[in-house]
Order: sequence, then structure tokens, then C-alpha cells
Amino acid sequence: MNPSTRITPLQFLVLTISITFGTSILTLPRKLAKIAGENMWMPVLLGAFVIYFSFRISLQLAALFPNYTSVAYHRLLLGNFGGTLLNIYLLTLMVLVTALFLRLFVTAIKIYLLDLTPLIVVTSLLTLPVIYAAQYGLIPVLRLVQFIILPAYSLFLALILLGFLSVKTTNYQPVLAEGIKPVLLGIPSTWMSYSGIELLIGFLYSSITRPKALVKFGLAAIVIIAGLYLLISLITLGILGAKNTMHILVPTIMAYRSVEIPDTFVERLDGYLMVIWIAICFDAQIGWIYFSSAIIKQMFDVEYVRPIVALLIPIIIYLVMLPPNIQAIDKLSSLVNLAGIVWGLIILPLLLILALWKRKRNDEC
Amino acid sequence: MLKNFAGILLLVLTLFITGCWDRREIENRGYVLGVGIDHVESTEPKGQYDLDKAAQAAGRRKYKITFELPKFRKQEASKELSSGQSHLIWSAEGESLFAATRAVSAKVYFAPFFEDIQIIVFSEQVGKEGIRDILDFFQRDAEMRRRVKLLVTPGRAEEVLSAKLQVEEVNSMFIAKTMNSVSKYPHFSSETELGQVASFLRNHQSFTLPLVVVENKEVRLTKAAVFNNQGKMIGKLNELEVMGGKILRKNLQKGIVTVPNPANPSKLAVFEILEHSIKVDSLLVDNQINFVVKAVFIGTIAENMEPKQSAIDSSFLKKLEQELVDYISAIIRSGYRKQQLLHADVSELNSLVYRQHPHYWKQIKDRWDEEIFPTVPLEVDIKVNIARPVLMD
Repeated sequence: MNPSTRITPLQFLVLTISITFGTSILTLPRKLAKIAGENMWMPVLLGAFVIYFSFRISLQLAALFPNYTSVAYHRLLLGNFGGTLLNIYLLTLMVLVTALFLRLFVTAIKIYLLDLTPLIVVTSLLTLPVIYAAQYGLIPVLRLVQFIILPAYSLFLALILLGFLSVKTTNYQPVLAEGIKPVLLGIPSTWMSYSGIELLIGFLYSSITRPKALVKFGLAAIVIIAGLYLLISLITLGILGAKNTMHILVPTIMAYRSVEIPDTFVERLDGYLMVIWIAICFDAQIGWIYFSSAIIKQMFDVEYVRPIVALLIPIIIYLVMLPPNIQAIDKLSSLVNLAGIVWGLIILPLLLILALWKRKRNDEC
Repeated sequence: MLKNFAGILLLVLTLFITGCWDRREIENRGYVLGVGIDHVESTEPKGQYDLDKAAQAAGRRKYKITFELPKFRKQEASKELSSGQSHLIWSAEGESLFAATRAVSAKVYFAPFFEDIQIIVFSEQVGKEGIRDILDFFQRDAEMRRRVKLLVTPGRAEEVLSAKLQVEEVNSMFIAKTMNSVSKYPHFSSETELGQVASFLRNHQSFTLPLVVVENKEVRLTKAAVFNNQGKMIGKLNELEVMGGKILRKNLQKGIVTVPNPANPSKLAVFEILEHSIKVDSLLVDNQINFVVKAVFIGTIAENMEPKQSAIDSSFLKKLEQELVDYISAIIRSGYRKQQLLHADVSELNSLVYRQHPHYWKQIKDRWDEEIFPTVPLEVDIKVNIARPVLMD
């Protein structure tokens, strides 16, 4: 990270929301309905607490190295070799998340909007502008994200709320008929939907103007994201019911296909939702690709991020095209989810323990 | 210089890459507004070239699928030809509906496009054989509307679409719009949408579809075709049984109830339901389930055909309210009894049991329609409140 680059906690909140809230809205309801049925909204709520825990661990760890990014302090903690290995793990995780999100995104666009356009064309057109956006570092990325976020999310919120017009409240019952176990089992599936903040904080902490405010702004970001996911889960469940939700490939779009406001200019909601959603996903992609490139930049101590973005994008496009079908995407998605959980709930706490132990030892010496 | 050139090149590129692959001219689209599905009348080739037959590597010549498309005319021509048909009818035959749909593309240059589809009509014959397999095509197609309305006709579905009606509107549009009258005339089934029906089939839930009949240049929506949890049509509910079923399902909007006038039984009194409060509960006692329906109907006297009788006389109103209570209770009971006889819980009472007694439901869910539901007693407690008995003028 360029040491002169400074961002405010509010900008951190904006980045976190934009990077986190992307394609998961399409598939999260299906995964959760399979596990938790009518109570699928509960793991969404509980998942937010788990990510908050991981965020606090990550924040505490970053606060121990206020002048370093996570790429640097991984090396300080584990030595050059161990730190590099950990950075490669982090980079692989971020690149896979990017590729997976992008694949789900373009698959949905292909099914519902551009059925004749080849997948690679849609993917390329969505990723190539990122080279331009990322060429001058974090600030232009941030400006673009800030520019998109307000109009896109306001319209998106207005549209998703219209979904309540078709909700059937009986679809929310019975409550906890199978006990709490299915709800708890559903929590891990929400990880990828919330993942982002725990990765960003280590990377951005040294650039934040008021680090003490991060707890508040991080919590606000998680609450906003959880609120949006909760709304979408409740509306999808309320429109389709648990059994339908679990059988439909992209239940969120199908739910909004059921919302029609006849004799108005709106008529059907799904088309509008898709258009706004493209802006939201593009916003998320910029963030993921930029931060993946920035990790490489720091790992190899390269001066500019632009050539790395240019080199990374063909790799991401290749990874996007790799899964042959939706079953493969689902399998890959489960693996990446697991890798994310390992990072957020195992590696980060271990790193924090190690950092605290090292600090204590240094103090004693 | 190079930067400027690259910038201009990128701008020019955007002109060529915006949706090229998905470009379809509006005049090359066949806007399907209605689909009719019948069994073929004969499997023998029709005519020298047998134009309707779909190419299928496997499968029989089983269904005839008919599409109704709007007929677009130039504005000047439409003034002159205002009495002409406003629709085009195309059809093909095969077992696979998708193959048959593609076969239509060999007859017309505008490929069938389903984003604006309004209705799908099945013949009763097709309904009796089952619609579960047929609906797969409609659920799978990404163009299809989830809210497209499904109907059953006692005759041939193609005739519903091709009939010449009094109105100069595409039949499918006209029928779809007429279905909105269900709020005023609740005597035909209102559970009709593809998304709903797909959900019923997935949940092994019985359901009803409205019947549509065409006669003397008129179309009418009536009654309900009852489908069991396998998606096979097994009977019909008459118009009053439909209303009773709707009360049990709590999806009655408005309606009228006609009863003998208490002041003179040879004349009529008509009650218009303006609002209501319906509560349906399932009670589980000693592992035995029973249903209780409690409802209050508030409305007005829409017609009092005994002019000598003052409509604000309280004893008359009391008698009329009692008459209405008896009558509405009878409608509910007859609708419920018919469903029990058909072993088809179309009022979704099974969902009520699942929500209120999930553990009991687990034990009996596989035996519900055939064994349990036909024996469950129903308790009816109705109240009627004539809130506006006076004449307006």
C-alpha cells in the first residue's frame, strides 16, 4: 500500500459493503433452505455474529502492527517462508472468491439476460474495465465504488422491498420445528456471503485515518450487509417457500419473477433487479480484483499495481471458465467457503495468539 | 497520440460489442400470448407433407401444442381491417413440447418468444392424464413468466385460443384479463399461476385450476378442475363448492350470497360480502386432528326482492343473518366434503397441520390425502353482520 494513501473509516465501510455484497444474494437462499428450511433466515442473522467475531480478531491483530499491512506482518510473525506461504494462501483464497463470484454472476446473466452471448465475452467485458479503474491505485477504485454505491444500493433496496408485495407469511412457519440444530448447521454456509471485512482490515488498517473508529464502522458495515441478506432471505422464503427455494438454481431471481405490478410501468421486477445487480456486482469485482493484485504487488515489492491487474485478469477469466457445470461450481464454492472459514476462524486467531505471545516475550526480554 | 488512439478505439469498440449476440429485431419475435395443449386427434399424417409433425428421435405423436400470437398490422391497414382476426394461430404435434415448439420455427421466421405469455390451457383429457410432465418444459424455460395463468377446458384447448370472440382482442389477453374478475365473482378457482402450480406439484399438494369454456362467441370462467397430488385431474368442484373451498383456504376476496328472502321465501335476498375475517385452526386431541373454521362476514343487502319488507327491520335482519349463516356454513361443508370425497385437500389444510403440529405431521404426511384427510371432521362457526341494510337512493 502506498504510505501516502489514507482512507477514512467511512470509506472503509463503503469498501467493505461493496466488496462483500455481490453474487451471494443469488445462491445463499438455496443453500440455506436446504439446511434450515423455513428457518433459513436465522443462520443469516447468526452468521453476522460469527463474522463480527472474526473481524474483531483481525482488527486486534492488525492493531498490533499499525504501520504494516497483513502481507508484511505475516512475514514478521512467521518468518519469510512461513509468511509467504500464508500470503499465497490468502491470495489464492481471494482469487478463487473473485473467480467464483464472477462465474455465478455471468452464469445468471447468461441465463436471464444475454443467453446467446458467449460466457467468455460477458466475463471479459466485466473484468477488462477493472484494469482501467485500478491503474492509479486504491483511491480511483474507491472513488468509483463511492460513485456507484449510493444510487445502486438505494434503487436496489427500493426494488427488493417491493418483493414484500408477494410474500406469503405462512411460508415462515413452523418456527424451529426441527430444533436449533439445522439453524446452527446453516451458519457455515453464510461465511462466503459475509467474507471480505476480515480480509480487508489487515490490508487497510495502516491506511485508516482514525483506526479507533474502525470497531464502530466495521460493526455498521456488518449490520448493513446482514440487514440486506436478511431482507433477501425473508422475501425469497416468503415468496417461494422453503421447498421451492431449495430446488431452484437462483431462487432470488425466480422469487422476483413472481412479483408483478400489473398496469404500471414497472410490470415485472426481475429485469430491473438484474440491471441494478450488475452495477452492484461490478462494484464488488473491482474491489476483489484490486486487492488480489495489491497483495501480489506487496509480495513481490512491485512499484505499480496496473501490470499486475493486467496479468491477473486473464488468470481470473481462465478460472471463471474452468468449472464445466453448475455442480462443479457448487463443489468449488463449498471448498472456498471452507478455506475462508479456516482463514477467519482458525488462522487469524492463531496469528493473534502468536503475535500476543511474541509481544509478551519481547516485553519480558 | 497513442493514448488518444487507444481511447478512440475503445469507444468505437463499445458500438460493436453491446449485445451483438443477443440482438433480436422486434419484428422477428413471435410473441406467444397463449398456449393450448391437447391430445392429437389422430396420429395419422395430415395432408401430403404432414406440416404439424415435430421431428423426434424418440416419443410418440401425442400432444398438439397450439400457440396464439398477436397479429400486428400497420396503422393504416388496421383502420380498414378492424373487423379481421386479431391473432395468429400456429401449432405442432409431438410428445416433447419443446420439440413441438421448435417444429413451429420451421413454419415461421419469428421464433416463439414466451416473455409475454398470459395463459396456458389444457384440455380436460390432457389434465386427466396428468400435467406434471408437461409443466417441466414451462418451468425450465428462462423466458417463461412464473405468473402465467393455467386453465383447463372441457373441450379442445386449441378452440379456446382460436375461437372468434365478440371482442377484437387476442383471446389469451382477454381471458387473462377476465380472470381478474375473480375478486367480484369468486365461483371459479383462483389458484392458477405456473409458479404456484409448480410449487404444489413439488410439495405433493392437490390443487385446482379454473375451467374455461367458449360458446357462441363468448368465453366464461367457471368451477374448478381438481388435480391430485400427482398432478392428475380427478374431478371438479361446482361453483358453490369452489366458494366454500376458498373460505377454508382464506383466499375469498368478495362475493355475493343469494338466499330465500325470510319475509317471503319465494323471493330472494342478496347479501354482498364487503369484508370478512376468517380463522382456520387445526386441533390435535389424542393424536386425532380436527379443523375449526371461524368466520365473520360483514356486508350489505345488495338486493331485497320483497319490496313490502323494510330492510331495516331488526327481526327481519336477524332472520336474514341466520339464513346467511346457515347457507354459508352449508357452502363450506359441501366444499370440504367434496374435497374429502375426491381425496384432494385443495384448501391446503395439510400446510396448516404442518405449521401448527409439525411433529404430528411428520408421522402422517405420507398418508394425508388418501387416509387421514377424508376422515377429519370440520367444525364451522360463522357469523354474519349486515352492516348496511338501507337503500342508497
